[in-house]
Amino acid sequence: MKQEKRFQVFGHIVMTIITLCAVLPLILLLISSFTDNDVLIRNGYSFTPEKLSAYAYEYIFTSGNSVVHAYGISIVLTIVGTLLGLTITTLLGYALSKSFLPGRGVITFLVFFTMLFNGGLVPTYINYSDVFGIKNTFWALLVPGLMMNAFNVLMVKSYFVSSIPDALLEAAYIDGATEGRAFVQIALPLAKPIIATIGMFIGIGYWNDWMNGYIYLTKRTDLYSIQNLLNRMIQNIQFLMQNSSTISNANQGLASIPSVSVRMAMAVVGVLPIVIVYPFIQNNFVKGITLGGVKG
Amino acid sequence: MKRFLSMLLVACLALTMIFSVSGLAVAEDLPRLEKADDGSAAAKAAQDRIDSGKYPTVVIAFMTWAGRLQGTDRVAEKMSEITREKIGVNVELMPMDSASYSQNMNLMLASGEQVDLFNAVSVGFMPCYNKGYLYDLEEDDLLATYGQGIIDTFTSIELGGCRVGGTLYGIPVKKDDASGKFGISIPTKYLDEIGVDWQSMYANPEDEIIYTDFDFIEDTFAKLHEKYPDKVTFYTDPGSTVSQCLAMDYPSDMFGVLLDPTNSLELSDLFSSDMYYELCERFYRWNQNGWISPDAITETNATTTQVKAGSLCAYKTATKPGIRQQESNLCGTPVAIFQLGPDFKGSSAYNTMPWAMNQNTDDPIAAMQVLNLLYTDPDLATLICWGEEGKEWQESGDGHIKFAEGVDAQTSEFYNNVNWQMPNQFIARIWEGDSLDLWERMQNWNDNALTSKAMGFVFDNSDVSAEYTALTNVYNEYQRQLELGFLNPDEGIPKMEERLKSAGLEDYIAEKQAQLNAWAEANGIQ
Amino acid sequence: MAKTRDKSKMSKAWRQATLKRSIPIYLMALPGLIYLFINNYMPMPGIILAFKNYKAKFGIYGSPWAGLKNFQYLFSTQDAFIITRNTILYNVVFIIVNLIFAVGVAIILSELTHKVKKVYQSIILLPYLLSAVIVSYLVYAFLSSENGFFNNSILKPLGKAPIAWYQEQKYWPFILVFVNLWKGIGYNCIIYLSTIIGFDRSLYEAASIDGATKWQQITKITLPLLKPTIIMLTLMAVGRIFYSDFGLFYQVPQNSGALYPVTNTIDTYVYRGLLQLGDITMSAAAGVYQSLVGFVLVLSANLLVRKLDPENALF
Repeated sequence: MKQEKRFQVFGHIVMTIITLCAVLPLILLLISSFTDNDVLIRNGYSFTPEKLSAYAYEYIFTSGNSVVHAYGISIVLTIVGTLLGLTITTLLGYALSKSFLPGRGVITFLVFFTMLFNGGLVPTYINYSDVFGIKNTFWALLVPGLMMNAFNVLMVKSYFVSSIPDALLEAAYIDGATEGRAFVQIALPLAKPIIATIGMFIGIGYWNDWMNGYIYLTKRTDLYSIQNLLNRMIQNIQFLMQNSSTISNANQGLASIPSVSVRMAMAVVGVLPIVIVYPFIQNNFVKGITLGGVKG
Repeated sequence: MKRFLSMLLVACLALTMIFSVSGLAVAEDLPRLEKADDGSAAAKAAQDRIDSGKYPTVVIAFMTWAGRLQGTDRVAEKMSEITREKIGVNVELMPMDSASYSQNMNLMLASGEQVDLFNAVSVGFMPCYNKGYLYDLEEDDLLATYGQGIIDTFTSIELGGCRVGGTLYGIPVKKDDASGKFGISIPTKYLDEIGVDWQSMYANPEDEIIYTDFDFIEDTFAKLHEKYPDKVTFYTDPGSTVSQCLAMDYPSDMFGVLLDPTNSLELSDLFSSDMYYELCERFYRWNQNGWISPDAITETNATTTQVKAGSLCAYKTATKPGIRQQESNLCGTPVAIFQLGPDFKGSSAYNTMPWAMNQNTDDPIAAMQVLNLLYTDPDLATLICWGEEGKEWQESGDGHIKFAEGVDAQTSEFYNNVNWQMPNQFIARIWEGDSLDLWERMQNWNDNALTSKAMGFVFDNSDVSAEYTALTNVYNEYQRQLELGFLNPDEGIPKMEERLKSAGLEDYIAEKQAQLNAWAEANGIQ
Repeated sequence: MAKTRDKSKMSKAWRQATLKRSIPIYLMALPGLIYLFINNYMPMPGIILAFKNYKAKFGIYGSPWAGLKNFQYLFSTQDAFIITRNTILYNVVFIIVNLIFAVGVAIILSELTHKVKKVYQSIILLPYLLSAVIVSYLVYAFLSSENGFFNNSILKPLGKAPIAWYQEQKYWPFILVFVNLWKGIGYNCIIYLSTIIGFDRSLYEAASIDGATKWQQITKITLPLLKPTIIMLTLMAVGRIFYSDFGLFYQVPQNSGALYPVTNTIDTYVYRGLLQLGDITMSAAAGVYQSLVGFVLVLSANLLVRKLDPENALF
């Protein structure tokens, strides 16, 4: 027991150090977002700024597109995308875990192959935009790239292979359960840890994504997700800065953008919902895992 | 010598002032392209469309700083009211964020979606040409028949800037084509503090630029540095230092330049030239004096933003008519503009951001007629530049226009700030703050700047693209270190030279020279 | 021998039964396979763009062939060695360092009993959610010459001369490894953590009763059980060894020229070279090159694993 205690102390020390490393720059980020822009340019980033200001947030929430609306799009997108993605990923991963399945090796390889090779941006775009015509629709945010990837499928597959005793499923099958029932009633409950994990990966992927919006939304500004909106603002500012001297007549707009603090504020606006929501997800995550843990 | 040069420039400028009083009549006798007819074919095409009642839609894409604003469709409809009546065509506007414009355009042009007219800024004129995105604007006399207003707007030399291999692929934008080299902008409040009597330095009271020399500037910097040790004395954007400081011509890129562009068509290596050494040596000295920030190499804020924040005293800018007002606005404080080099117009003046037509366009005639109207119809030009009267802008009472009631830069539904990209801002209304004769002065200034002999030459580097990528990577590595004075040019330049040479600099220049010679021969230039 | 005969005897019935069992399984796989087909395999033929001289009029498939010309720029320069070396070395170090820390943190988190471990887990995930641009500003806040924390708050009080961080190559391999670790640790440990939590706790209880120390439990139970996951994740990482995180190598060093010898990777080289050129065939060529090398490496690595430890091979 003394040894257990020593380990606990050691663990807490290590984790405290790592957590501090993660959290200090984030606190700096938060403070910078509330620092006066001119002070930031003059003095650099500081934990104890000379002058505070909320102008960056004012700018984000008043300019052009509605941030609240973009939050709404992001939330719907993340929920729908995660549910759909989880469903098809888990089903495929489960199927690939079946050793008796004819052609399993070939299919696994085909899945793995997509991890290394892809057609590239232009052919992918032509496929989605010309063949499926999903440009400027919600589908364009949902479908391309994010729903399922080989990595997740293979993780699920290996979890089913290694952590769920085949005997259990075989027994159910012999007892007369269909494959579908065996999957839903036995395999799924046992797979809660990996489902929670993959769900989180997919969810983070959807929440953080801005590329799909960049590529496929040229007219529908009302479909901008929060990350897409923020990234557009950040990159527009950056482009403007870099070209203000090369493109003459650059612009008066530059004069009013709180260029440095606004970037920090945008990062905060993008991460904040996750900071708020994550503990709840995590609660369920841990609960799911403890319920699902293989006992005996 | 330098003083003499600057005196000469002042004289030139004074002359242009005199010309400007007489209006825009200067360009009358300049060479123009020939028209196909008296305009009857164009009128007939328009009438046929109006009679048939089937109006094709022409999609116009361009880049903006804030993406697609809410008023876009409304303004497009207002424009369509004009184009429907005049040529029987609807227009659709497709503004896109600067951040994604290049990518979006590339994807749309490659996939065959409908975009009829687009500005090649950021996507790049030559890259578009190389991928075959561009429509030959003279195919079946398209321009000569349906773009006669464009022919009246530009001389054949100006249009020639958008020719590749003799084929016309774009129409230039009406803008500042020349740029004043090595301009330096300093807030007047700092000058007053260190006792520089800048007001007496203007050659003419109506001038906006002070022509001076390096002795004066360095003396001023020394005083500024002494008075404001906590502020950075000088900063120059590394991306544009060479192009905006040196009076040389760089066709397409810096690898192979014309060092004496008004007299000779011989390409040389810029980096082994005295001109480049002097520039780097000067900045190195300035850096040693502590005039350049130790963080300059990683600076990400625009110069004017730094001045506005109070951390910077002076910065390099390219000058042009209206520059003092523009920079004062950006800095939030009045500035004085000094200029150390000549006014110069390089070979790429007309093809940095031309308007082009998609090779895939359904109705080239309608697209050309819309483009023609954009260059010639003041109402249309004002709409695409400033938006709708009463919604975005209103009369200010003295001939200018200003924000409409209750609207500002942030809340306006169509304030794109990209007039420099629009076909013809010279015929649009003038915003409050700019002088009413700005475009006349600009035109004269364009016409009177020193012009490169290679004006209109475009380099197609697709056969040496491997060398280009290697050269670009090498130059990128040294550029900011040398051109912000962090590296002693006596050591740095030879090192860079050696790496550039082994990356194929000589082959690259030879290819460029061969194309330049062929171009000169085809155009009868000695 | 007996087994094969057995199998052949009941082969027909067996096959029929298997087929019957397989149909629902295939149906389960179907949605995912359809998605893969649409998302990955339909655009896949576009790979030939890398071998084409693209002209919009003819489309991707109709454009004239260019042979290997589009690949030339990746090899023809003196930088080819440096960018390849940097890409591979950084990736190897990243794979090792990330593995050690992710597994270490996952084990510690799984063993901690206090509720505060949830706080740890949430916070260390946050850096993963920041974009590269923001990360580059945060790094700059620490390393800037004039206002950076290192120079102002650490070196200055110690009476040491300030360091021009963005011009000194020697620090950057460490900085980049650290930033990469900092950003990814929370994310990387999740998969290990969930795997560990799935382990059979009775094994540990039995070991505990037998008097095994904590360290022995970790080395004798946890790590061997984690091995399949570790091997699998490492194999997948090997497949991406020719790719580099563009944001990390371009944004974080602020594109500082003096640092190119230690920060230029295949991706940044291609980006800089093609920025003005905008050549889609050359960038496609870079992608094919990266994929191909990754493919060969991962196949060989998999072969090796199959030899040593057939259970854990990827396929």
